[in-house]
Amino acid sequence: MRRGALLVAVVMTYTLSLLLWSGPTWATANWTVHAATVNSGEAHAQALPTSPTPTSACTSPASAKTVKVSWTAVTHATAYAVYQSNTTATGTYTLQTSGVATTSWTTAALTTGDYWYEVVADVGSNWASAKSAASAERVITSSACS
Amino acid sequence: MGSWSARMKVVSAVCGCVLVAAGAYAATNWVVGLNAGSSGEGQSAAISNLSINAVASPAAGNLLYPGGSGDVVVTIANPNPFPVTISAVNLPTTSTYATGYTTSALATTQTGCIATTPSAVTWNFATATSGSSHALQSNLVVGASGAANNPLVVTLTNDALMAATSPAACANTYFSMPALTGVTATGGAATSTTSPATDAWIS
Repeated sequence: MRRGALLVAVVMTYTLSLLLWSGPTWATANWTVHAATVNSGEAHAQALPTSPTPTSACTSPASAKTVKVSWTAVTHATAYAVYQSNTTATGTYTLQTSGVATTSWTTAALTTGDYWYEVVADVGSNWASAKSAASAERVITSSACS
Repeated sequence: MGSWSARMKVVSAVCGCVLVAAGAYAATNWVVGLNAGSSGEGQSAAISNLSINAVASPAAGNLLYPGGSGDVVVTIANPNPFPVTISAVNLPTTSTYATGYTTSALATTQTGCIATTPSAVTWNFATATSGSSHALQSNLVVGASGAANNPLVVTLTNDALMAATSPAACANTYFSMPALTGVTATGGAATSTTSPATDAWIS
């Protein structure tokens, strides 16, 4: 009887120690650990979009005296704006259109003069590229575009 | 004979009660307190909070832009003497914004691009409710304190989101993401994830 009682006590104590101190106790416990943090990660934003590279061409027939302005697509751009100068390549440019979702835009019939174009790429509602370099000059005469 | 029977009864009763208590402990789920830096204590074992922080290396591969998502790089430290397996994160609300900094050291804030501006940078898939749970694509196992892969560096692919309304001042800015409200984790033997790792939640 004494040996039996001691054996029972030893076995139960050993089992108890396993339950209290070994891995299986943790392995069966699930919990939500709240992270003690000042911040939780680092992200990085890209730079403002690059400027497109515009080109300009007279539409056909030339007598229509309209110019098609085209430009290279800019990554992540959501819209483009087109500016026009009719003084010099480095003159004052005025906004002709904005919110253009494609990579080209055609003017209305132009009056006699010399024309240059610059394009801005927009990403979202607040990010914009710098104005592009000026397109090649287009000349509108009384009868045609060249 | 009679005295041994009494001793046996006492020993059996004590051991039985402790075993029942231990069994109940092993099967209990619990939540660690909300206070930052606090530890939860479950009967005989204390559970210390994980620390999740920003880290500059490795650099994020996918960069944020208005209307787009980007990577977040974190380091997760486990102060507990056992590995912790993380299966999900709990996010703050969609109106909890990141603060922008001029460099990856996150030392000087970016004028015009802080949380209150707002920067319009949030955790991707966050909801209007704080604490929403989002399962990781694969579990992350952070080694025990002092073991390999602790802290664990993880790139969370495209888990930051920049709204289309983000101000231009946020261009080329580094962001300290808002604190997670918690993580769902399990403690116990597991093979730690090799650092640096890549993971994500996608919904």
